[in-house]
Amino acid sequence: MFGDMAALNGVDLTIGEGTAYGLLGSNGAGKSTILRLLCGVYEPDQGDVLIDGVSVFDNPEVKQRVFFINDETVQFGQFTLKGLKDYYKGFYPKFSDEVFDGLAKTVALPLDKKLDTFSKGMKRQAVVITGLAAGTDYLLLDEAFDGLDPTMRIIVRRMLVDAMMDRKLTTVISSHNLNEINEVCDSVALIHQGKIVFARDLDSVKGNVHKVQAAFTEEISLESFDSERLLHHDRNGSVHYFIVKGTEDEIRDMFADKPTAFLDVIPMTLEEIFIYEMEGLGYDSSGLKSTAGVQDKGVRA
Amino acid sequence: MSDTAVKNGFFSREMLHNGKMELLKQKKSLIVLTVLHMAGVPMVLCIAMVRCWLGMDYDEVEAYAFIGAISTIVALLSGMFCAINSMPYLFKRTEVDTRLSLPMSAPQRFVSDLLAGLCHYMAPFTLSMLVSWAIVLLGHITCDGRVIYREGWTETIHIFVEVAPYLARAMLVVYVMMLLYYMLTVLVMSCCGSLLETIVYTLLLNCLIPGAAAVITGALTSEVRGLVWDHYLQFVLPFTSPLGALIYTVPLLEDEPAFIGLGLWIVITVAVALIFGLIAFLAYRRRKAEDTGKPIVFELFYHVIMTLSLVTLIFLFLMMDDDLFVPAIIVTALFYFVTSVIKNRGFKNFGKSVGRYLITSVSCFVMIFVIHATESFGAASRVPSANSVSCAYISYTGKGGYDECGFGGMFYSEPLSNITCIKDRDDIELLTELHREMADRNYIYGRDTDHGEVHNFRILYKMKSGNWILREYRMTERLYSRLAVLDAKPDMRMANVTRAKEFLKDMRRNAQKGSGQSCYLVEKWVHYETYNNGDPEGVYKASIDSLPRDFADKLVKHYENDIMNMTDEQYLNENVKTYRLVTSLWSDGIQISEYCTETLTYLESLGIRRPDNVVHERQLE
Repeated sequence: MFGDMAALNGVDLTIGEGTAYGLLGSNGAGKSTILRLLCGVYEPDQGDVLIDGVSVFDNPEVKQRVFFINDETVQFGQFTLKGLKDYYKGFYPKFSDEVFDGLAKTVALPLDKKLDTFSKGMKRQAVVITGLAAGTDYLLLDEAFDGLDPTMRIIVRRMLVDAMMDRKLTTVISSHNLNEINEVCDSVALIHQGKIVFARDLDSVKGNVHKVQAAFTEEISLESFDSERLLHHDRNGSVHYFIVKGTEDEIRDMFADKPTAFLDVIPMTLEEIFIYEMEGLGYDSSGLKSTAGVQDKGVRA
Repeated sequence: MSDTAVKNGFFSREMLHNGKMELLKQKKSLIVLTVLHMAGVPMVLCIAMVRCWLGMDYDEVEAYAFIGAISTIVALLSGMFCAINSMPYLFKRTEVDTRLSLPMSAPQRFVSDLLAGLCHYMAPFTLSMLVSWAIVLLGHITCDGRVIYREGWTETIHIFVEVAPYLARAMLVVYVMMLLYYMLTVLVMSCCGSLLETIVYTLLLNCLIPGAAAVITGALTSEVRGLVWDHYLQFVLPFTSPLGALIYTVPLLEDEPAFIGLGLWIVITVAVALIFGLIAFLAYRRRKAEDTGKPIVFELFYHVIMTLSLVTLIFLFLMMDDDLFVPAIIVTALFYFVTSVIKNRGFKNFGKSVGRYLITSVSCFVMIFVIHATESFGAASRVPSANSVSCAYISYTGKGGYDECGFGGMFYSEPLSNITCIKDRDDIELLTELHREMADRNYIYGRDTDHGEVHNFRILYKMKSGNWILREYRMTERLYSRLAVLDAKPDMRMANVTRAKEFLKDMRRNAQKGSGQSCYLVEKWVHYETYNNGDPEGVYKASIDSLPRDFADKLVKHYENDIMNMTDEQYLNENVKTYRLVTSLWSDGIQISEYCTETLTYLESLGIRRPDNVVHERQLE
């Protein structure tokens, strides 16, 4: 609770070992709050956050297995990269000098300069390599790729993937950059206004929403569609554009009894899914909150 | 559980590492603090030693002492910032995630950060003390009678030997005050979420706790006959805040602590500091990470501050004058109104604020009314039974004494050994009877209601239980004259001998070799001004430098023999010729009557003879 506002409500997530889990959501949805609960910074008002069945809050033994990288780097300003290593080395017994030095070499960061003199992206790299070298079982990243240039994004992404492959590192990433989530994560959860909208593996998320382009031989009524599955509708002349929940087969079944002239079912990107899901929740992609309720489902015929 | 997890109970390697890293972060600040402390006691001692070596005037060290004092005070005041720097995550959101996600429990983090901050604060002072002790030791070891000590007129005064005990006491006092100040800051930090509030409330609490204690004590004692505010303050203020401690601990550095011994003060103050620390810990445990940034984390803390402020203001107004009742209400209401609007960022919960104000202010007024109505809960009329009194110190000094001088400051500057102490059971009974009479007759201090010459009279009982009771009255001549039966009592005589001893000790300390000071006998009633502008004519002076080293000891011995062996008639004889032994600078002195034959003979052997051509002031009158 933040004052009288519940940041999260009824959140129930299970994150499997060795997975890369993405947290998606609008600004203020509660993604960072989930990460802070996972690393024991926040204490849940109700329920518990368990890592391997053990509560994480105020539990040094469990916290030793979790490394949290938040979206700020200003607090490390007075450290040199070497100082940052020395600082965290004392807290994480599995901290690997070898990994740290190797990664620092890869990203070519100076060891003896204060982080204050680094650019935002360089600071981010410094913190990420520290997190990876800490040797924890869990790495939590809040806006992990923020400030990184495209090349560095690829390098950092590769570092994460390598760590996941090498030592079954479980990564939880909160990001607005859906491409990065798409590239790295196995599973995602969409959070809106402190609640989980869905939490599934990425393939099933992507396979469960499709764009449909269709033309009909006669006028159809939108009322004849299952409103729960129809997220969006638009029309350009005789061509109708739908965003529909379901697998390709289910969607084709859905349109089977309709007088279609042609029907194309196209897979969607994660970004498109995010936008249409949020729109369905009344969070308009244009940035203006829709006044329509869930019943409208964004249908604008 | 990880196989590398720490399993050493509460204390862990991570705590140590955290503390070490926090200290390393404060490297620059540590250097600055060390320099400031080094410019304090070590610098002054060093300069004193060098000047002694070079045979330069010792008194000019005071200029360096002033610089040293300022430097040390600045370093000591930095305690607030040491505490704040040790737990930045209580105010900075950017630090919260980084620090709170580290593998330490909240108690571990609290203890580690607290101790790191305390080390940051105290380590530079400790270093300066080590250096100071080294200088004192060096001075002591190399003390060969020529270089690093000065010579007085009766004996060699070893500066560094004398400094060592003083330094030890001062060091202890400063450590305890630092601890109290630091813990108070940590307490405020744990209850606030922003830096501004922490600084403001720390400063406020440092004044409000002793302030409230002082005004409540004032309300309990002022306008109630017999009770002495100062007396009660010294039992309360030294423990309430560093400021209060500073006011009342300076006398504790003297050789003979007056009321509250240094040991007791240390024990109680450390206990208070630990209580602050415990409350801080409980608040720390209770506060959440998301509280960082809030001005006030706990409403209760805010209300405590507000209540203390209101109590202080209301009591202060009414202590000044009962007629200030309405101004007290107006000022406190305005204060409460403004602070409530600031705190609530508007008029939210305004009704509650008004309610709280009414409850607090009405409680204060009721309390003041009760104190007045019950005369401080009956304390004014309380007279101890003679049997429960161990001894009684009184301001009355009897014949040959110094009248009432010096007694007013007995708690802060004058050792109790200087004050007449009555131990005889019958005499104590007489004192309690007089006390009862004064309490019943309603002599209000400063507002005597009886006719006749009045005298200030203070009596301090040391109870067998260890408690102290002090009363002060205005006494009429009639009541005062009843004390005359004590005049020739051994306790009273001995008090005069003790005062003589103290006088000689002071003279010895203040007379410097080569200053040309002398001592001599003058007629007792010669007015001070007669010889304040120079040594009077007709006296037989002896240079202080020329007096033997055992002068003071021998003189006191002879004086004691004379005083204690006089008959009562001799002792009380007012017509006998009496002299006063004084120095060029000290007009007070030892009263020596013609019956003090041993003393006068001894003085004569040193050339200090009875004065010639003296005019008896009373004869002139």
